Amino acid sequence: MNYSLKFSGIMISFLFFLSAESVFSEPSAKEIIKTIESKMKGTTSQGKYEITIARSRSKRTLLIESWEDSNQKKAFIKILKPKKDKGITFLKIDQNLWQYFPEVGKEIKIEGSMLQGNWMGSDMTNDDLVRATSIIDDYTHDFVNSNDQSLYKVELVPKPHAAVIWSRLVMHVRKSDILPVKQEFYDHKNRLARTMGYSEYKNMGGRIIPTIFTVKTIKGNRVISSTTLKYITVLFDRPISNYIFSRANLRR
Amino acid sequence: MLKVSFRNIFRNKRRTIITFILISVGSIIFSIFRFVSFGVHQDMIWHVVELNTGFIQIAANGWLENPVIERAMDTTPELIQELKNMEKIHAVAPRIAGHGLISYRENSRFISVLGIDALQEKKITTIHKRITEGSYLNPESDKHQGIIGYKLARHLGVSPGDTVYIIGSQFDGSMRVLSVEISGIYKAVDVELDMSRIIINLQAARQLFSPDDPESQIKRYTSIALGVEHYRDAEDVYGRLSEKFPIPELEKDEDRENSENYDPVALFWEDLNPGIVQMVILDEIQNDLFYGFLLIIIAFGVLNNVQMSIHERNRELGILLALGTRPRDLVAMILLETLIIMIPSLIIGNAVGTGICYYWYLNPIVLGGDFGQMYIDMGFEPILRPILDTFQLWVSILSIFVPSMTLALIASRRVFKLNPVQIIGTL
Amino acid sequence: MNFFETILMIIKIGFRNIVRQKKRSALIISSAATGVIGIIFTIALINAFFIAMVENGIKSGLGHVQIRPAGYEESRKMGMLLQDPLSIQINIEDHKIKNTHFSGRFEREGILRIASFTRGVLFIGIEENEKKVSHYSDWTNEGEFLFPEKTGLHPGTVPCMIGRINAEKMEVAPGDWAVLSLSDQTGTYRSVRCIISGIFSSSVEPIDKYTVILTRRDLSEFYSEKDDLYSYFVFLGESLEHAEKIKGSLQNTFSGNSEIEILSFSDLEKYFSGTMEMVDVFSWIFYLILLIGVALILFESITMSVFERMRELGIMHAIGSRPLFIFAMVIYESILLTIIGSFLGIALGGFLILFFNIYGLNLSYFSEGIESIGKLGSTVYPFLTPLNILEALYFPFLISIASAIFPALKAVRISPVKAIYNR
Repeated sequence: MNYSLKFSGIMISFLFFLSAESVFSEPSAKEIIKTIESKMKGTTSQGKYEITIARSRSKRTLLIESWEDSNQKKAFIKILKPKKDKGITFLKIDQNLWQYFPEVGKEIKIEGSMLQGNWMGSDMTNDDLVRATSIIDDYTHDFVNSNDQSLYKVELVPKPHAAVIWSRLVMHVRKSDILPVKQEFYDHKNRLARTMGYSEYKNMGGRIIPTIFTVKTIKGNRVISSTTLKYITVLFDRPISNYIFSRANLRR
Repeated sequence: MLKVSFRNIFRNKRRTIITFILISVGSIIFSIFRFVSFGVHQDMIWHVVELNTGFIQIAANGWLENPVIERAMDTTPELIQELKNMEKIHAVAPRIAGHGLISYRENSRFISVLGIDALQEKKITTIHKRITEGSYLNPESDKHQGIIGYKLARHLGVSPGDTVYIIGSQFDGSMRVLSVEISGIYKAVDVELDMSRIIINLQAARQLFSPDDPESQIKRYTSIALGVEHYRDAEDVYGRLSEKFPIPELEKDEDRENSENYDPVALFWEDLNPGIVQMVILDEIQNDLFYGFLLIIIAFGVLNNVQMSIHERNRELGILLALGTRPRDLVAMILLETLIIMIPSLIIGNAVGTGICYYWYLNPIVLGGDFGQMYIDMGFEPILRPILDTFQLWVSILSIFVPSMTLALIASRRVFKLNPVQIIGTL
Repeated sequence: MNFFETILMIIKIGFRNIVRQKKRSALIISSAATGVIGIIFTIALINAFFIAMVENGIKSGLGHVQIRPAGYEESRKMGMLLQDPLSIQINIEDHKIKNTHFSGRFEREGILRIASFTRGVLFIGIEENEKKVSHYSDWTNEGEFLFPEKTGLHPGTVPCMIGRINAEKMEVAPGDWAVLSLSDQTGTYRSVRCIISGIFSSSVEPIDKYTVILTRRDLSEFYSEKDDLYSYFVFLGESLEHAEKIKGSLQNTFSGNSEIEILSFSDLEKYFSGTMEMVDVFSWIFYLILLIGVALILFESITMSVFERMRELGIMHAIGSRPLFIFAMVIYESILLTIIGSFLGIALGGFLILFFNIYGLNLSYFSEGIESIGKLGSTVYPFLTPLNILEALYFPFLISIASAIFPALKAVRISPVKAIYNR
């Protein structure tokens, strides 16, 4: 139900920047995924994002501000809009989550069955948030045939020990700049259960990245809900004070 | 013929009396059992119905299968008015129900949250009569108030006047925390209500769950509880409401709990309390078994009566047949005899049974000891009492009457097989 | 004639009498039989319900006796741990109780997930002896039970078992995997992949839906990195009566240990003794009523039979038969017929009961969803104890005597002259 959300963390997490040399040799599937990770995230990132959540009978838009330190696995989110949610904050350290409600001045730790559902009614699962699994380390990566010659199609299959709820993922990646276009999530009966779309490639924070991410939950061939994240501003690799990632900061 | 029949039965006083006793005692037992079993079941049903769900509710399609706040239904003022205007409905109480985490100091627990219209609900459910500490929700108050069960209060360490927090998931998915003042503590004698529920006023629930449509301003409720006087009225009202709000057909591959159709449907107490229904049915199965055997024994008694009376009067019947009496008439006479015994004994037996039950109804037996404790643990009041009901009475009368007369009919057909010549020959 | 010859005479004459009055005898026999069938079937069914409730309760985890951390009975808090479980275990093994098995368990609440399916469940970590204390191994109808432990599983994964209802909803089969998550000892959210080794069908819906079985070691390590955590020990003896003895014996063994509680099945399920009482009371009432019915029929029939044989009895008087003889004869006839009827009833009823015992009586024909009552599966197995059968013979026997007394007296008082003359 409540998680600290780092939206660039919906994307695959990155370990290092792909060096220029690999441009000359045909990259391996795994390298492609690593490249994506490093392009979309930095060692740190901070910014303002707009999130629109569309469900069967409700639609709402949040404006959040977020900080993430991917090395230390910390993240902090503050909700700026709408008014009723203003001031709600989330803190994630490793796989621990805390949430603060300014209206009543109460801080709670999100534990156990509270982690069952999705974050704030969106299409993100708690796994996405807490990022218990790594798209690089927990999967094997292989090319598969792509209908579109401008795109790589990479299939990711979870390794035998990975605690992953999907049975396979498929990433569609632009050959030109190794940026993702679409990610598909398949369940254990090989049905498409979720898609992530990337669009609006722009220069932001010194990088060219997709700035709109759309996650759609699919059931029985119908899209039953969707969540769209839009970058408003973002900065990468700036140092972030440790105070941001503290329990005290929740209340500020 | 009546006279003849009458005289005949007194020919063998003993047998007549025994059959009479068998049927009347059987009727007494039957009627008592039926009334008691009916009473006990009604009490069980009434207990949960008056405590929690009421007899009838209106809710969105799919809410029964998936009782989450996201399945709240659009409720226009017209709908409410229409329900208020319906015959035999004396109260309309909208509700907002969901789940949440209640927390007080270090203790917390997942519970169900029920937001009610404090005033209207009093006409439908009786939780307000079971307040043991503090007071019921104040309909005049604009503060967020709640009442909780005594077991939950003990678990959390809460007393009236304390403020608890409820964290819940809203209609649109966002999370909300509400602080609620506990105005009172109740003892429902129901496991779930006492341990896992908080009842708050509607405005608190509205703030916590925010079910209303922000654009069209349409209010939403998860269900509307309706007040009816009696069980029989409830059946009638439910029938009408089911016609008015038919259950929508499912689309291909759709399951109702995730349906896109949120039209209102009518729900009967049986739908809302499946556990009780099963308990009652189980009990009825056991009882039916017993009735069956008792019936067989009584029917045997009647059968015996008829057979013996034919056998004893073999000669007489043979002569009558020889003299030209139609066998049909003899059968009629025998059946009449049986009726003459049966009707008074049924009447007397059932009347005595009814009388006993009436007295018992006015003076119910309170169960004590482990037996009573078990009732309490299961969530019922530990009393045992019958309820008089015409339907049950008819069942009691007919279940003895029909099989017995049928057997009597079959037995008396023996008359057709009597060969007058043979019989007279043995004289 | 001496005593034995008299008895023999009674037997012979009585027997012949009942053969002579076929119709009447048939009636008595059949009504006794019906009464007895009714009684034993009702008892068998009640036994079945009772045992189903109890057995399901006991064998689905409750056991006969449990050793729990002190304070459990009152608070029923999930998550309490036994301090020093290894020494408790040593103690138990040192003071072995006859015909009793025990096994340790560790439980945590958590989440079961695959693709978009997610459900809050209870993880129960079991040990090898679990087979001897509960039904989970019997209920496993697809795949394999967790023990004997499998080798060859990929490191980092754990074997688990889930209920049929979940397996169907999740669309998984043995060999597939799911993700188990919980908050560990430090409060951190953790997940692990579990390979479904078997699927169990408990016929109690909440158990199927909300239970996932792992090995205790795996669950303990998942939760705390150590493999030695225990929530409680379960003991299974031979019967409910045995349970109290086990409890007593354990209390002796652990007297002075204030960190644990010894709880029997009835402590854990408080409504249990109440149910027993209720069942007892009701079955007595049922008996009584059926017997009264049979008694009335008996009474009438014997009386009739005496009347019909007035002449004969009158002659017997006239030739000097002793009143006691006649009295005994009438009573004997009643007893004989009732006993035959009772045996017939037991045979027929018993056959019916045996049939349902083997194939089960499926209550869902009477109502759907009966499984959701909780402690009761939808199929029950009626049975009779030897005591039940004895009772089913004993009471008809008594009433056969009671109903025959009046007619027998009448028979004795018949004045020979009137009898012979009156026909």
